[in-house]
Amino acid sequence: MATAEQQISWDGVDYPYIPPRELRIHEGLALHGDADEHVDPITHEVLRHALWNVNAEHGNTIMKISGSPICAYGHDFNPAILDERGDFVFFGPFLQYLGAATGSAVKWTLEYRSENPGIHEGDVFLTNDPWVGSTHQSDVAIYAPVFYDGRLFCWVANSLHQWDMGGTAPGGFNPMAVDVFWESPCIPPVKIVEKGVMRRDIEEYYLRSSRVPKLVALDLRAGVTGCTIAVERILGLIRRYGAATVKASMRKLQDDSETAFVKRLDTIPDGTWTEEGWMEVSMPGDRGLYRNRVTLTKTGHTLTFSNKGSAPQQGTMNGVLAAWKGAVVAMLTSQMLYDQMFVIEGAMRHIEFDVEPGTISCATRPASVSGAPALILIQSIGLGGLVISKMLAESTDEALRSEVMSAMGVMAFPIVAIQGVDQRGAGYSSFLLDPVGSALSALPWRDGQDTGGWPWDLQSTMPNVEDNELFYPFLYLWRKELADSGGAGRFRGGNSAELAIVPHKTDAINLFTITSQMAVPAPGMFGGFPSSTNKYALHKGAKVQEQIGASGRMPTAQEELGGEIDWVPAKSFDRVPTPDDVFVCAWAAAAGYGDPIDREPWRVAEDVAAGRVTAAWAAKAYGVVLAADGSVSEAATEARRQSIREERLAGARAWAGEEEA
Amino acid sequence: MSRVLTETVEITGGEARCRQCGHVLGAADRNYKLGALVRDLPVTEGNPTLRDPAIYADDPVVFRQFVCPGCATLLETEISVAGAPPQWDVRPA
Repeated sequence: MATAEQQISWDGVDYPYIPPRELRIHEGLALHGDADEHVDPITHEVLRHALWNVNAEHGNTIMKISGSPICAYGHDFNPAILDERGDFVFFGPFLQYLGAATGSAVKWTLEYRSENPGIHEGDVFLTNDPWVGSTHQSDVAIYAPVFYDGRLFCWVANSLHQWDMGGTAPGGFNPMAVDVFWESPCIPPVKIVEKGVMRRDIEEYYLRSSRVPKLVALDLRAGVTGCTIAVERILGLIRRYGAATVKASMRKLQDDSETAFVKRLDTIPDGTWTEEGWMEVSMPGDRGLYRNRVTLTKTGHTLTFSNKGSAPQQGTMNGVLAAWKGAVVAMLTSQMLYDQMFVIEGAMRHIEFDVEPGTISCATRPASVSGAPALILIQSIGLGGLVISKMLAESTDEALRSEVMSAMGVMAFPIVAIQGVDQRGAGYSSFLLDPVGSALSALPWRDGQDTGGWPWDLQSTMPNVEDNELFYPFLYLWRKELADSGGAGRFRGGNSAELAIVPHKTDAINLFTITSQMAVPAPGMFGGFPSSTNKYALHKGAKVQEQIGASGRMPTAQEELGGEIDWVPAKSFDRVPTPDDVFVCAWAAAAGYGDPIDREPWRVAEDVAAGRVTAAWAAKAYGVVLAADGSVSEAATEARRQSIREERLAGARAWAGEEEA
Repeated sequence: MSRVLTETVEITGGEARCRQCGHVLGAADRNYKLGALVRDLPVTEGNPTLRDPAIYADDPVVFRQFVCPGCATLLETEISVAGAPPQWDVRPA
């Protein structure tokens, strides 16, 4: 009798696709695997950087052609070069979590498209199917085989977040989605370009569901052209250096990355590290909290990531396996492969995934998954970073220990999806990208950078206030960093920021919210204090225009706003701010590292002087008392810190409850 | 032979100890947090920008501190939901 596990088909239909060790590729597709046994160091260096530049040009091409602020500011994409079997050669320096999905799409295509319709020179494939090779339906993967001498030499690929792929919610993030049928259509891999010609039938099918088909058509050309340029450049390298030499350099990149990774693993003792976070609100109206657990086990040269212990899939909180796998390994590039130019294959050869399907982090069809990147995916990046950090803290290598990071900012993206008629009378549908400003983690040797972005997203930038006011019918009252938002610690987590907008030259804005991390902040590390949380607040009837007219000054803080405050929940679809209202959104900061009363007092004084920490919080959390001139009062500080120690001991008790198994 | 477990805890002689003062927190094969003193506080005590979690969720959410009984160093902190026991987050093989 077969067990339940044996009956699962990991083929991307109901359960997510998991590539087998040996891909089942149709015999009619010849692979070009010839590689020189050795490549001389100088040629390799030239080729290594040439391939890097192919990938960089691929990414720059997408940005030049796409008209989307999601691409231009959010850099919500990544280009890649993969070998003939879909293993990574170069992954781009943009969104790191897209890695697993891109590789999955290429491998699935090799297995299920190599016979029918076949994979040929001049073809380009496309998919947004989350169970095959996408993090959610809005992230569309476009990828092209590179043929040389009639054989498949390698692949070039990209994944780019689209404006709108259709479905019941403008923009694709749907807080009401009961299941996947409420969301944008899922498109399994199709051949969008055949022998160099865009297939009109497939293109029209692809664009038909979108609310903004012309803009999506432009992004389609951005992705296809990026691939086309990358194919041409790789063929140019082959013609100049020879196919076997280029392939040898690709193999060496993968092998060198593996060598570096294994060498670092050798400095870490075996063990198991676990972190958990909480997904909040499964659907509008719900008030539940749902566990998201990530466990990392190191055994010799193998790292195993597991999601076991996470909540069953439900509501709109879910993500697919490709999203979760990409998430939990996203931090490896910055923490363990920082010198390998984003060649992640070396690590992937030593990583296994032990997953429980049917959970919020490994959802099966027909679960709703459109919100994944904003929710379970980003939180899993954060949790993945924490288990990796706790593992690295035990390394004997000082360089690795210096990569330990506290919880990053924005472990759930506060989506503010907006839609309506803009100041020019045209329809629009998008979401605010300001929270990509995020906040960087505290390290064992420095504070986190305020609004410094994410450590796994090296290119994204906050949009200019003026550009957003040009694109959309609203005006900013403020966008400012928030004092005290970063977790206190021996090293402080980076502060985050807050914005306030007023609808302008429009009747109203249809506004959806999708996020988490409203009730539960990210924890501090090794004695550090927690982060701030995401926040939505709608001030109904604030009438700031009248307030400004009467007072002659702009309000610059929520406390200065009138009207009735509506603490908008993590998931909502029924808020429609008008020009009489103000919508406020703050995003979560990074958590602290180490005991705050061990922080050097002069650092606290500098923070207070710069407005990063308030004097009241300096005294309460850090135990640092400042004189009227801002200098540290040493005697008062020592007394305050002693008082804090006494308060801790007086207020604490031995644990007498249950123990975690 | 000692093994650094975290920034604040190490294993020496089969026992988990505070790295600041050497206070013994228990056997190395147990969760060291069970040997610390535990202090549950409102989350607003952990960050002054936080709002009451009850605005958004029904489960109680607290800022939990693990305090060294010997020197009052904060060994670790957690955000604990619904009275969950201390997380056993670091387990040496």
